[in-house]
Amino acid sequence: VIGQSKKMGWGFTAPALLWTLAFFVAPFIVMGAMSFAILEGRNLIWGFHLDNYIELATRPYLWRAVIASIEITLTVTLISVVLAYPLAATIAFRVPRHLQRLVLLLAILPFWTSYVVRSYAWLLVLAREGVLNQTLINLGLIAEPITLANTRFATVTGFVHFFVMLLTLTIYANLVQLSPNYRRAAMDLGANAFQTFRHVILPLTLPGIVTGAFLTFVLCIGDYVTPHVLGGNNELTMPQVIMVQLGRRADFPLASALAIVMMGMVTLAYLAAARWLRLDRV
Amino acid sequence: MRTYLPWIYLALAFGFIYLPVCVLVLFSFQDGGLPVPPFDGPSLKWYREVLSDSDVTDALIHSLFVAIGSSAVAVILGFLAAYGLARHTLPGSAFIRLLLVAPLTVSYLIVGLGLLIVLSRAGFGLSLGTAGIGHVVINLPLAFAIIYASMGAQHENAERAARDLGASEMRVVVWVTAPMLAPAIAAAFFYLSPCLGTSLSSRFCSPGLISHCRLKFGQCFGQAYHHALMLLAVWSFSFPSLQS
Repeated sequence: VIGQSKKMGWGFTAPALLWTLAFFVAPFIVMGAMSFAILEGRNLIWGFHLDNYIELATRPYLWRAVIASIEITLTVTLISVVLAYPLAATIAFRVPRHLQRLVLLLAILPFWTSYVVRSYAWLLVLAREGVLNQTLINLGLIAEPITLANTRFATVTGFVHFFVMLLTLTIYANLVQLSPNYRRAAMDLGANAFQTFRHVILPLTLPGIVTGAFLTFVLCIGDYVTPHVLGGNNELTMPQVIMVQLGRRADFPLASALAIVMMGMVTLAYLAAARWLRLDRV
Repeated sequence: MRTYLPWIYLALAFGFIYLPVCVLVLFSFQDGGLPVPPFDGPSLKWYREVLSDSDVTDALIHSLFVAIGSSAVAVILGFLAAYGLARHTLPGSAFIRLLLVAPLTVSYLIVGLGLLIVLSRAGFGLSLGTAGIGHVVINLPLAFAIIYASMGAQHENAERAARDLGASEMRVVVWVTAPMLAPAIAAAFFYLSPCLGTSLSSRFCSPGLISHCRLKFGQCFGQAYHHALMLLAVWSFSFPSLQS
């Protein structure tokens, strides 16, 4: 019976496993090998060449893109956590229980729309003639429209908008699981509201924060659309540079090397977060 | 004052979250040529335009087709794998679980790039089908994770009862497990469907029609699209386990 159960277990698991192996693991390995290949004219020469990585470290527009990506991603992750936590906490602790689910769903409703659409929507808000500038001028706060679109500020705003919703979801899920007894016990022992938060609530919700922050990091560092639509061409990020290598230059080896570097960063973030990460509870 | 503070924050947060959405929806009814204030509508002009442009409607249909197809495949594969791993003891099951969620920890850009390299080396042309393959790779981890998380032991007794009454394994899965997990399966499906806007792997793997239309029709494509998505989103409300 055990043997048969095992066979059936494999039968059920195999399709997903084969799909992942064929269309994720294998391409990933090929991409890794590709990053050590070089292009001579239009010919691809496999081997173990470090040329792509050396180019990446020495060409300013390449390493600047890497640095811009890291800066933007860290800024976005930090701001999103700081904005999402109070939102999740308000929903979990202040909103009456029977309304919580509704309020949460309303808070993350735009999350279900595509980020292409969301980015364009922010462009409408932030453009020179856009809603925000017009409103500020009508209120008399500024005389001239300020440049908001096509800047790093716009990219970060677009990202934060999306990831606040994601983080609110993961932090809320964590907060509602906490028994109110923890808070009561801390209060009974004489902790004030801040001490209770700092020493009891915050450590207990760390898994929710870290899981959300890690997903934010992964999605943010790899997103091409938001910086493309909102950031303009003044400053390129890593995914944009990868797209340039693919589109204009058809330089697959260099694109692969960039992707491997990006993967390295995600791995670093994973290692930093691994202690608290709960990916099975996303 | 202090007791109002959370409510003020809640209102501000909602303002921030809904600002771009409201602007987008409002200016989709703009009468003039540019989606900027002042608002001179309402008019359905752009919707007429969208629906009468066959490039755009084709792109919409293609997006929907890829999204629904790839979500369905991802959910079915994810469900079967979740059942296999939750109900049967397999050697190395922890490793398999890790492998199945791994694409989640990798940017879809990397997933798309890897696929593009392999497909172009192998001489396959890019099509909606290859875009669909990419979407399934990206969606499968979430579908698996959502469904696996809801495969509690409480369902196991019902399965055992069905088996005792002589049901074959296939019948158990189709008639007992799947209906019991319907909320999670629906949640996974509706969570994934709106990924149709995520045309990233489409950018890599399809003939560029979608991005062409986006360039050509910029905002108004986005707007009509947005409405379809809002409908889907509102629809997905009715499924209770969405928040988990």
